[in-house]
Amino acid sequence: MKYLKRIFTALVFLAGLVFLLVVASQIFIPKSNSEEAGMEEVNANGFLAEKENSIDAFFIGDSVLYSSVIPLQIWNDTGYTCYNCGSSGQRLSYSFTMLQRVFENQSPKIVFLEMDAAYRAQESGYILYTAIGEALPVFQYHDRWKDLNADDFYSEVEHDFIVNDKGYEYSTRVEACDDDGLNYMAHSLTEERMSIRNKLCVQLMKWYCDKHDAKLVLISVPSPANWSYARHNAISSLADSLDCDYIDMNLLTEEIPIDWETETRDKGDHLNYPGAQKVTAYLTEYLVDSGLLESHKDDPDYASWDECYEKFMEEVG
Amino acid sequence: MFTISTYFSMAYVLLLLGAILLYEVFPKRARRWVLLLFSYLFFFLISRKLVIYLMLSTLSVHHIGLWLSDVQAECKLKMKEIPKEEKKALSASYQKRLRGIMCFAVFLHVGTLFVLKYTPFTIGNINALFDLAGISLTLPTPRLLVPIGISFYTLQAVSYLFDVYRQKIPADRNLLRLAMFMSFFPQIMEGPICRYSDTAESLWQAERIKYSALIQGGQRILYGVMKKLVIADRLNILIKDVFASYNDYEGIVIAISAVFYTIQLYCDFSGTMDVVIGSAQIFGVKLPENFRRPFFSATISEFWQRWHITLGTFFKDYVFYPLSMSKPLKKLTTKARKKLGNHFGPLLSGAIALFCVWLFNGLWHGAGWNYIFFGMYHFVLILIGSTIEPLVIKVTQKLHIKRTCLPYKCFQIVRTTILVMIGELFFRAEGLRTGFAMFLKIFTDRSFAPVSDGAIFTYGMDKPDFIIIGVAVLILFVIGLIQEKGVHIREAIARRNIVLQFAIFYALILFIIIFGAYGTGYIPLDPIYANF
Repeated sequence: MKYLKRIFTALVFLAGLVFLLVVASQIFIPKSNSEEAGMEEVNANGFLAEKENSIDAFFIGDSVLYSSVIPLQIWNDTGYTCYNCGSSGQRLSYSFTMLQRVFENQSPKIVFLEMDAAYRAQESGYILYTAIGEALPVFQYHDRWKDLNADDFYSEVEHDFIVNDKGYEYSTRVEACDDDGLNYMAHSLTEERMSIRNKLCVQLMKWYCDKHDAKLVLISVPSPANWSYARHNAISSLADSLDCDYIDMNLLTEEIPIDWETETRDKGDHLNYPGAQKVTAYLTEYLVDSGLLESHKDDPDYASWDECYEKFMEEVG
Repeated sequence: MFTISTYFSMAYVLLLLGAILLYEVFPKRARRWVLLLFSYLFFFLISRKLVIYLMLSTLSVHHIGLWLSDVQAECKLKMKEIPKEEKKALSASYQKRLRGIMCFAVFLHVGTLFVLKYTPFTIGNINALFDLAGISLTLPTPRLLVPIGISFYTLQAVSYLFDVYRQKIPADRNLLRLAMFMSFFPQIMEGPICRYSDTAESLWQAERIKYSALIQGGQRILYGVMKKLVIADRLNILIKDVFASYNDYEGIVIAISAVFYTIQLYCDFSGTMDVVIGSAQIFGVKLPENFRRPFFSATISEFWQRWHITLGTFFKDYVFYPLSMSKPLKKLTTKARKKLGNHFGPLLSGAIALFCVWLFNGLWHGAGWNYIFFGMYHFVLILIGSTIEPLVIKVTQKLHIKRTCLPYKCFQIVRTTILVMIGELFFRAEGLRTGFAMFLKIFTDRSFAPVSDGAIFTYGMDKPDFIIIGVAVLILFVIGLIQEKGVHIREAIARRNIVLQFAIFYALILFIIIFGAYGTGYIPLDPIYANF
C-alpha cells in the first residue's frame, strides 16, 4: 500500500511538472516567427508564415545550403515554390525537427537534404535537448525571460513574418579558393565513416518523407572546404541502402562549372551569388525532369511570390 | 559520447537513472556489482583506455595494503616470541621495513601522478633554465594523456595506505570492496577525497534505496544544478573574455571579473559537490562534505576549513601533522620555544610544515607558477594571521572593540573574502605574469566609466544577466545564513506537507529551466576541478 502511495505521489508530481512546463512553454514560445519576437533561425523557419500547402519542395541543410540554393530563381524559371531551410552549423537531429515542422502545415512532393551535416558531431545531450525543446518550447526559448511582455502571457502564436528570399542568404563577397583545395575530389575507394547517430537521423528522415509521400533526395553542394571523395562514397552507399537519389554536385564540374577564383565567398567553404545561380540552375533542371511538380506561375494565389522575386531582384541589382 | 561536463550532462542523468534502476532491481549481493560496473563504465566513458590507470592503481593499493598488513602481523607474532630486551630492536627493524614499503607505495602512486601531470611543467622550467644559462639544449616535452580524476583517486589511495600503515584501519582483503571505494562513480572525477572509513562499508552494504534518501538526494542534485547552470555558466561569458584579453578592459572590469570568478569557482565546484553528494545519498552512501559556507569565514585559516575540506584534511593528516611531529621539527620547536617564547616558538616549525602543505596544495591544483603562487599566497596570509594574532587581540582590546560583535565579524568576513578574491585572480589568470599585470591594472586603470555609462552590460552579460546572478547569489546567501544557524533545510522541508514540498521542487526546477545558461548562445563551463 505504501509502495502504491509513493508511485501515485510520483505520478501526481510528474503530471504537475508537465502541466507547469506546458504552461511555461505557452508563455515562452515566440508569438511570431520574426527575430523581434524571439524566433530562432528566422530565415530557416520563414516557411512557417507561408500559406498552408503552398510549397512544393524543401531544401534542408546547413550554411553551405543557404548559400547555394536560391528558391526565387527556381520560382522565376519554373513557377515551382521552394524553401531553403538552411541554418548555420545545422545538425541532423535539428534537420529532422525542421522536417517535422515542414510537414505540420506543408505537403512538399520533394525534400532535398544537404549532406554536409552528416559529418558534424552530435552529442546525445544535444539530440535529447532538440527533441525536448520541440515538445516543450520553454527549454528552447527559456532565454526569452529577458524580453517577455504582457502579450506573451495571453496572445496566440501567429506566424506572420514572410522571409522574402525564402531562406537563401545573398552574398557577393569573393575570396578565392587556394590552389591546394581544388583537387579535393581526387578519386578514392575509401569511405569516410558517418556516426551511427547521423546515419539514424538520415534513415529517420527517409522514413518520415515516405510516410508523407514525399521524395527524399540527398545532395552535396560544391564545397572544397567540406567535401571529399571518401565522403562522396559513404553518402552514395547510404543513398543506395535507403533507395534514394544522391546528387553530388562536387563531381558535376561540367554541368556546374564553379569558378573557385570568383564564385566562393570564403575560400571554397561557401558559394557566393554567381556560384549559387549555377547550383540552382542545375537543381531546377532536376526538378523539371522529376515531373513531380506543377507550375503556379499563373495562379493568383501565388502572386506574392512574384512580388518577392521583384524585391529580390532589387536586392541583387 | 560523454562530454567533459559529465555531472551536468544528459548522459550523466541517464547513467544515474540506469544505475538507480538496476541497483533497485537486483538483490543485495548483485547491487555491489551494479555499482562497480557503473563506476567503471563512467570512468571508461570519460577516460576511455586510461581506465587502465585506475585498475592498476586499485590492484597496487590492494596488494600493498596486504603487504603492510602481513608485515605488521609478522611483527606482532615475532614480538610475542622474543625476550623483552630484544623487542625494541625488532620493532625498529620492522618499522624500517614498513616505512620502506610506504615509501615505495607513495613513490609509485604519487610518482605516477607527478610524471603524468608535472612532466611538461618540469621540462619547460628546465628548458627555461638552460636558456637563461645560455645552454643551447632543449629537452623534448612528451605529450602524456592524464586520466581525469587521477589527482582525486591517487590521494584516496595514499590515504588508505597511510591508514593501514598507521593501523587505523585493517587492510582490506576484499578487492571488490576496495575497487568500489576507489572508483565510486559520483565522486571519481572531482572528489570529495574520501577516507576508506568514510565510504567503503556503506558501499559494501549496498542497502536498498530509501524513499527519503531519493527525495533528499534529488533536492541536493537540483540545488547543485542551479548553482552551476544559473550562476557559474552564466558568469562564464564575461569571465572568459576578460581573462583572455584583460588589456582590452578597464581596471574596474577586471576587479568585477575577479569577484565573479570567485563566485563562479564556488558555484561550479560546490554545485558539482551537491550533485555528487546527492547522487551518493540516493545509494545510501554518506560522502564527506567539501564545503561549509566558506564565505562566512572570519580568517583565511577558517576559510580553508570550509573550502575543499577533504583536500585540507588530507594535507593536515598526511603532510602537516607527520611533518610537525617529526623528530627534527620537534627539536626545532623545543629550541625555538626557549628563545622566542610560547607563541612564536612553535610557529617556526609550524611554518615549515605549513609551507610544505601550501606548496603541495598549489601544485595539486595544477602545474604552473600561478598555482604555486596561489599556494604561497595563502601560506603567507595564514602565517601572518597566526603571527599577528596576539597583536590584533591587544589592539582591539585597547580600542574597546568586541571581537565577537556583528560589525567586527562582518569586517572580518569582508576582509577575508577580498583576500580570497585576490588569490583567485592569480589562480585564474593565464600565467603568473598575467596575474600580476591584471592585479596592477585594477589600481592603475581607475576609470569607473564602464559602470557609470553602462558599458559593463555590453561585455557579454547584459543587465538582466546581472540581475538574475544577483537574485541567485542572494538565494545562496539566505540559504547559507539559515544553514549557519544550524537549520537542516532539506530535513525541515521533508517535515512540511506534500503540497509545500512539491511547490519547492517545482520552483527550483522552473528556476533552473528558465534562468539556466544553456542552449543556443551558451557554452557550458568545463568542470574546473576535474582538471586539477
